[in-house]
Amino acid sequence: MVPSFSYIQARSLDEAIRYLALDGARAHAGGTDLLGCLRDRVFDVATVVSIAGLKELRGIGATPAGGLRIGSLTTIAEVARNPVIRSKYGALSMAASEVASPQLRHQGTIGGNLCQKPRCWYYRGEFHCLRKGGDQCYAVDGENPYHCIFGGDNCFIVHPSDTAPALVALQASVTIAGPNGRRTVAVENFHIPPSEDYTSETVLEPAEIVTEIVLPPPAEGLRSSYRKVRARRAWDFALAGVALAIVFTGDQATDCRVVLSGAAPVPWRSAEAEKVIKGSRLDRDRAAKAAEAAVKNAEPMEQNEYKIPLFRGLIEQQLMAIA
Amino acid sequence: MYERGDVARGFTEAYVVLEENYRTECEIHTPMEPHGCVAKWDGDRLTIWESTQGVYRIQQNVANVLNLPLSKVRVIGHYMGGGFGSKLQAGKYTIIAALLAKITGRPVKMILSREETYLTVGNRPPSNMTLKAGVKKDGTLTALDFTCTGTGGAYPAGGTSLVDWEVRDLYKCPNVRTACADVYINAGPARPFRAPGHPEGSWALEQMLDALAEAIDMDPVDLRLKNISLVSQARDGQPPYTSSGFKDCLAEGARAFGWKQARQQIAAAGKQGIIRRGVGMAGGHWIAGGGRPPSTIILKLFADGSVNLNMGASDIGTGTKTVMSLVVAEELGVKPETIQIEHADTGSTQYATPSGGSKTVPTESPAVRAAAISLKQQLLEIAAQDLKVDPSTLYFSAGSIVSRNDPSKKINFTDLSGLKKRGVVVGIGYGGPNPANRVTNPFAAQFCEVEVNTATGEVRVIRFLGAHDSGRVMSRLTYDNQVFGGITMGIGLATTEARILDKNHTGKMVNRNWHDYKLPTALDVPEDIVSLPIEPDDTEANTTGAKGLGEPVTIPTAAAVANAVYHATGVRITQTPIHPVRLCRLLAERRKEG
Repeated sequence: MVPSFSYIQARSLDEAIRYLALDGARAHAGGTDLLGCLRDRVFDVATVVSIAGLKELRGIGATPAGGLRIGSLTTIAEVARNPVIRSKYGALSMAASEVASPQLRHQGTIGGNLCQKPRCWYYRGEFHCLRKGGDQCYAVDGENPYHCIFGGDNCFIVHPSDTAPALVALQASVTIAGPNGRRTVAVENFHIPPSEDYTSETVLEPAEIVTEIVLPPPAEGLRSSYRKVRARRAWDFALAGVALAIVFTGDQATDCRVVLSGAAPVPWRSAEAEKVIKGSRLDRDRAAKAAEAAVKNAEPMEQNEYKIPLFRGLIEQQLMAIA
Repeated sequence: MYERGDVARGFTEAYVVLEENYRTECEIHTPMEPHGCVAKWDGDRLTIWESTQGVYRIQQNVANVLNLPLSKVRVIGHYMGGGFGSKLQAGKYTIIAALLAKITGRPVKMILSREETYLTVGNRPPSNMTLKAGVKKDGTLTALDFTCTGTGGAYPAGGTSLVDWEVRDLYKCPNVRTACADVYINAGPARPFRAPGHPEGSWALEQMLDALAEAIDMDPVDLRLKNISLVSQARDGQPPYTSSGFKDCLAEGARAFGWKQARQQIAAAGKQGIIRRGVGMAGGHWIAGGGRPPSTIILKLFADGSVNLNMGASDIGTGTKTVMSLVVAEELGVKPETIQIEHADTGSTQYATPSGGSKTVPTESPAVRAAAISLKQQLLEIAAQDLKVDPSTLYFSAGSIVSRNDPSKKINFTDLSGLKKRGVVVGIGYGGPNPANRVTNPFAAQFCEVEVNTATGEVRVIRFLGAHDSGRVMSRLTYDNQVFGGITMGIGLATTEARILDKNHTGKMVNRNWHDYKLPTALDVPEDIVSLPIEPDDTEANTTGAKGLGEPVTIPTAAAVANAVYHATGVRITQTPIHPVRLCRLLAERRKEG
């Protein structure tokens, strides 16, 4: 049962921020995650503030610097089919296409996709787990096939977003508006690992809203991709996913980012894999070495050890495909 | 415990003996429409609208619990959004709604939430199985020794129901032993789930046959053809089947699928590259599907020539109403669209057993034909009076009755004086007894091709073919729909579905929603599914020649997928579901072993 709450349709960003400062207020954009959280009683809510009517948060356009600005209310489907994103920022287009199902992609927003709550079944279920204010992570010695192999610390969720790893790989940033004005944060620093704070997923302060995502102009020779492996072929989160953004000069990989989904509580940059790739000619041997390096420091639990060969196979395949 | 022959001696006669452990995970029925009802009292009369597979079963359950005469409980079913065996009985919610409606004096609606249905209204229990099998060099099975542990949760029944039936009965084997044990666990109850026990037993038996075939270097189809039985070996007296199309399911299915060519092509391609293809197949039969009395059908011909068919049985989405209209149309020579069906209402339709066991068509359709024949006999009497001829000289021709001796003596139904005067002629049909010392069962063989990414463990089912002997095809459209649906459900068992309990902490089901409990989506099911009906002429089974279809279509599916994955990768997956979580680990282990 969804709890009862008051519902406010904000007419401006300032008004939205003002209402979101109320105790127990939550923002409603596409609502695909919010409704599930309310139904599962993941958190209490007194006021739902709809930002869906704020036109200035919609749409995709060029930035003066030659990059791209994506309003946070732009739907995942719009991101997936946008021709500029498809040609210049392939990883983001591919990641958006892999999100959930067509219905959810048409309703869900890119901002919401970055801000979504974890899908851990203990967190979503009737378990008073650490992240919900309890005293233990049930996944540690529980049913953990879908949990993390990196960065677990005290809470072993994986971050559910597909677009976030792609945006980290593409060096995007988010603009945040709040009671104290605006600020810009790199997507890479937007999500909080449980070692820092196991009760929040993002750096958003109360009453703050993501207003836009900004992509820098693509570097000369940039190639990017995203691929996701899941337990069924649609409407499913990543068992393992990898976003690649590699700058090639001739056949040399001069710069690169390797960001994993389904691996850690935050989009997981593999510095180990990047080190192997950077400055190299990306041949089969190098791809295998990079894939090996990516999983070297993994710390699997009882049921998710399969993720090590899975990531190894996936990363190697994707590196060969991009090279 | 079941035993025939001498299993130990059977193994000594074998050229190859193999033994393997298998496990199928617990599945939840997950019909689109959750369980629920509306209850309303008018004085001392209770009416219940329930999503059910059988209104008379609900009437009986409710009358028993509330101590009411059957006549005071009216249960109405009409449309329902799926049950798959989980809606064969009243729920606690039915009784609660009736009691609350009584107390409040208002109608009360109770619909379970999806989460509640996952916990309380049944499942296909998990099965832990061991199968040891012996085969001669020529493919003759010598012995089968099967054990199974299952659970009906915290309830006393159904944990291993029929899991051993395929081992006991499908393939010719003189020496068979099976032993099944139910254990109690703190979990929800078992309920019949589309072919209870059969897909589970098939998962073990059909993978074992695949392994035996490889061990004696024989084609898997040929091994099965070698061991066909025309009698039901596990029943007392080993009665013969009224018909068995099993041989044709295997042989015709293999031909239509291109089985031999596909195996040759895959062998020629060799074990190279990351993406590998494989083909697999499995056979099966269903313990029921022959229909049985009781059934009572009332057929009314109105003065305008339109027909009303009155049947208590529920159409659970399988096309029962379509099939029954076609039987009436065939027998009476009227157009199907002139037939209106009243069904699934204890207040206005006749007693019927619940729609389960793939027995609805073979149970109801002969009674429908009998009702139509009864109606025709009365029409002949009336026509004979109107035309002043002997009734034995008359015959039916497209909505009219004609004299064989004098074609000018002809009368349309609508001109019959008796019909005009009475307004209606009523035919009643009853389901007759089944043939003595015979068994009527449907048979099946399914074939599929898969593509496996050996780096990630992703499996794509490329195509499927279902060759089914369910007797006469009553309606090709609804027939094919059952085949597609059964294969879809079997792909769910094979590749995506599993109830997961929090075993170390609370015992609670952690994946009780549609995201975490993974039903196959449209992308998990191939676009290319071929339905190949095998239609042996079964005149013994009943007057329509139809056998059940809804359950056999899902029996061999999962095993066929597992066999195809083995063919593609050389990895034998003995535990469902086959998705990257399991397959990726097995593939990695295999690489390590070199």
